[in-house]
Amino acid sequence: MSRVVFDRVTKHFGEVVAVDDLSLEIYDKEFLVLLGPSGCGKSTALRIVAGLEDPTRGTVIIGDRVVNNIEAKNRDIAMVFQDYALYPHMSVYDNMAFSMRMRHIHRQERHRRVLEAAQTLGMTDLLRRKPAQLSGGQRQRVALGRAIVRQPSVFLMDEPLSNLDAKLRVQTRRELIKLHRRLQTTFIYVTHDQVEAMTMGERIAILLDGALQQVDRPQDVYDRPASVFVASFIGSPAMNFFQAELASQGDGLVARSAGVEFPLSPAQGRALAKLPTRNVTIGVRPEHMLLGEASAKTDHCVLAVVVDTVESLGAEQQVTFSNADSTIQARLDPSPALHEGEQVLLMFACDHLHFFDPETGLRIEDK
Amino acid sequence: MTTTSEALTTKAATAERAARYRPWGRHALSYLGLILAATVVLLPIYMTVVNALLAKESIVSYPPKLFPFECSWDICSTAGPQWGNFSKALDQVPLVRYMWNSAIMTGVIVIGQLVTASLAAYAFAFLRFPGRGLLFLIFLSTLMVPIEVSIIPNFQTIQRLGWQDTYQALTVPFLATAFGTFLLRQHFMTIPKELRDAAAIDGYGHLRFLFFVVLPLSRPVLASLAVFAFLSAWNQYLWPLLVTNDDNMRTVQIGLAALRGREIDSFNVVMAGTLIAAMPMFAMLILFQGQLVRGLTAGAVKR
Amino acid sequence: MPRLPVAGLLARGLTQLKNLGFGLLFLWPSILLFSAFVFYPLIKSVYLGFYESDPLGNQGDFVGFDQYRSVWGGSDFRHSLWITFQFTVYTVVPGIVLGLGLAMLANQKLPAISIFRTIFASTVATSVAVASMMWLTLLNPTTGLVTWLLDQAGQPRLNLLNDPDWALPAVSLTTIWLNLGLATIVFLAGLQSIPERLYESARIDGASRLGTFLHVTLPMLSPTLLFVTVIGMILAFESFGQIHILTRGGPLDATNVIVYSIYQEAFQSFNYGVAAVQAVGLFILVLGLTALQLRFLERRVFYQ
Repeated sequence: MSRVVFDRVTKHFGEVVAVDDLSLEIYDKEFLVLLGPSGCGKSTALRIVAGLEDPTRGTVIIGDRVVNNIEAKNRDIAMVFQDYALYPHMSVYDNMAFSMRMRHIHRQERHRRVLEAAQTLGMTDLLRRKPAQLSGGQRQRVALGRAIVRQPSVFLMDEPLSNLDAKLRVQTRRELIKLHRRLQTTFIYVTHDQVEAMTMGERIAILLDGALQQVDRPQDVYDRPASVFVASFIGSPAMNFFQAELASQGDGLVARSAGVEFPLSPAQGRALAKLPTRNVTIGVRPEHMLLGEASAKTDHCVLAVVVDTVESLGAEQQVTFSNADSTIQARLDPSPALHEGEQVLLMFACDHLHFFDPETGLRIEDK
Repeated sequence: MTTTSEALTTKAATAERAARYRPWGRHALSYLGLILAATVVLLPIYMTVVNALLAKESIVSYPPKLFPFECSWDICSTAGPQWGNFSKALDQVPLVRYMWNSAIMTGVIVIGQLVTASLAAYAFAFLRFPGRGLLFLIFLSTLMVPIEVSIIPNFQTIQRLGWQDTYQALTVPFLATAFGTFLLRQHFMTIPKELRDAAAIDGYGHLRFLFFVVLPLSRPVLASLAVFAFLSAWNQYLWPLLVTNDDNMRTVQIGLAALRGREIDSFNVVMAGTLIAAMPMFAMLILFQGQLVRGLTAGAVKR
Repeated sequence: MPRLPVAGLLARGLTQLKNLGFGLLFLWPSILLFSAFVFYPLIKSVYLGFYESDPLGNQGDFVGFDQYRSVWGGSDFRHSLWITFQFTVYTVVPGIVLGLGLAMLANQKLPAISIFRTIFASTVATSVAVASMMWLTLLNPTTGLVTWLLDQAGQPRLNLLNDPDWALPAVSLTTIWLNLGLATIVFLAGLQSIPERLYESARIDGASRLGTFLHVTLPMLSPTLLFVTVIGMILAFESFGQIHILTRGGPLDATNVIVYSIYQEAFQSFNYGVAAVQAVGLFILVLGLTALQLRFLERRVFYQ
């Protein structure tokens, strides 16, 4: 069993709180991504699991043991660092065999495991080389190989792809997913790149300022972000936000922001009525916007906007609009091609509205 | 909640308590080692201080006294600390004159080396001329020539020039430095070419570029070189021994060594004199430790 | 149009000439000083070796290579070499071990560690004369602390500096202490240039403290170790001050290293010819040893 549990883990560095009361369970054999901006504590959390940092408070569990007092080498984990941390004076073979040598594993067994890992990663011809003679991608594979031969219960990875060029990154992403499937072991993967998180993770745990914002499957994080922060972090370009005020209209409620009226469904109305104030933050993703006609359907919201900039990407155009007091981003079909200064109508379905409490930033459930 | 979780909770509590005590044990041992090592390293200095403060009777005692203060134990002095030894040292030995000579010699050498090294390094770093590489290697080769080989002919040169017992003899042979040239050249080469081009467009000639752009950008390296040159110059022994005979021209190193023959029975005064002579260098260390480290490690460590 | 290429060549030639001019302008002080005080003496020393000197120090008869042969083959020179070799081993090896040890102690992340770093580096601020005088106190036969310690350890009250068996170790001890600060500084800089990640990786890989030292620290320190060994050897071969102050080459030539022997021959016996031959011999030796060290040891040194 190789699940990992953070039980109210907190880590202080002097005055700075790097990890804030983190409670998170990572299931056996899961590929979990720790996602967040720089300085959010994700690397620190990973290092706490590894045993490179001691938590100020809280417990860490790997499998069924509390590992707080167990040395890094005895936690049955392997770690891949962002800059690979290969021993520069040893060959690839020796780098991979090092941990086994330290554990006095027999030479034949060491040899077997190194060859096996090298074959899995397709680098059997690199074994005699030194790290200085390898490219970035090759060094990264050596770092992976070093982790694989340890046959750990948990793989820890700290932004392993950030030092690779874009194309290599995409390729390696897919290889890592295949590797995970093959090894059937728990992977904890730290990154600040939401594309990596979305494509690789079985679940994503999002951290901000050391605190857990949300942990869910990628699609759920996308469809139902738990806070304004999560909503703006996932998805590119980022979600559009409007500050709106609730008003009664007929039987139900309506939310009004400068220049636009958001008709609310009865269910939405009921959920929003519980708010202490009449203010609400509404979010809409750029990909959910359409060019509208004046004769819009009633369950769609319509905005009058002016085109600011158009970035044409071939398959779509990313357009920035301005209206009264806000900037709105949309991803639209490439035709009709828009031009700066054009006045158009923008439309989006009310299903695609996200509601957040303007004070706390937290999601308001509307189901 | 299952029983496993309860068991885990108690384990967690013990783990937390243990984690709080663990650092203390580790640190105590480290500090013990550090204090022990520091004591051994400082022992000679400490004993010199002790002896400098002892009265004449105490310095011939055995076992040697360890504390210059009065107390009932054997290792304590019989009189209190004799601060007067320091002024006695200054009276009986022209220490101030010696230190002055050393200061002048060192000052001239340091400035001289800074100047020659800056000029030479500039030429090697920024000027392209035929034979540059070879000339640089020749410069570096001077580092391989030990002083023994040069000392006899240099002494004869000084004799022929009539420079015995002069400041020229103490300083001129050391005004050029291959190490300093190397150090500065390495640094000058990191100055971006764009700066040179911009300066050329602005109409700066070589000297102005050196003086107004290159040198200000090289302050840390210059400081390191200065400290390093200071240490080597102040520390010189064999050469000043050879070229000075007049007591007035002796540097502090030679003057100090000469004490050995002079005041054998006033050993405590000799120790006081030693401490006074050691002061400037220790002041340098405390004030300029950073520059010193940088200068000394220039060749040893990749930065 | 043949005019343009010629103009180009002329312009380039002119720049080269201009650069050469400036080059010489900036280099002439160093060139002059090196020629006068390094290269000329080197040649002159070799030249001096070809001539005997009369008792007043004047240049005597030309004897060609005979003097070289007699001095280099003589027992005095061999004895000096032996003493110098011993001295080098006694000072360089403990110097490295102790310097590395102190540097490792000082490399810990503890509060107030910088005080200890300064203390360990402090001997770099003691000049040869100061250090020798300090150790005179410790080695004093009647009241020295070292004498007393040895007494407690079973050795009767020794006059260390006057005992042919103990003089060289005593001078070596002084020299080790003298160079300790420098060694510590250099090793500490070397240790600090080792990336922390490698230690973390080794920690996870299960390396013990010894394993980490052998497989991470030492290999990464190899350039520094080479530097300290070569410089240490060169310094040992040039050590003069402490011998002059502590033992004057005695007792019974027990501490008569080559430098001191040269000094005695040249400036006390005025035997310039013999001294010059010894000096040239030393030069060749140092050059050879350094080249050997660089050749053999550099292969084992790992550069990043």
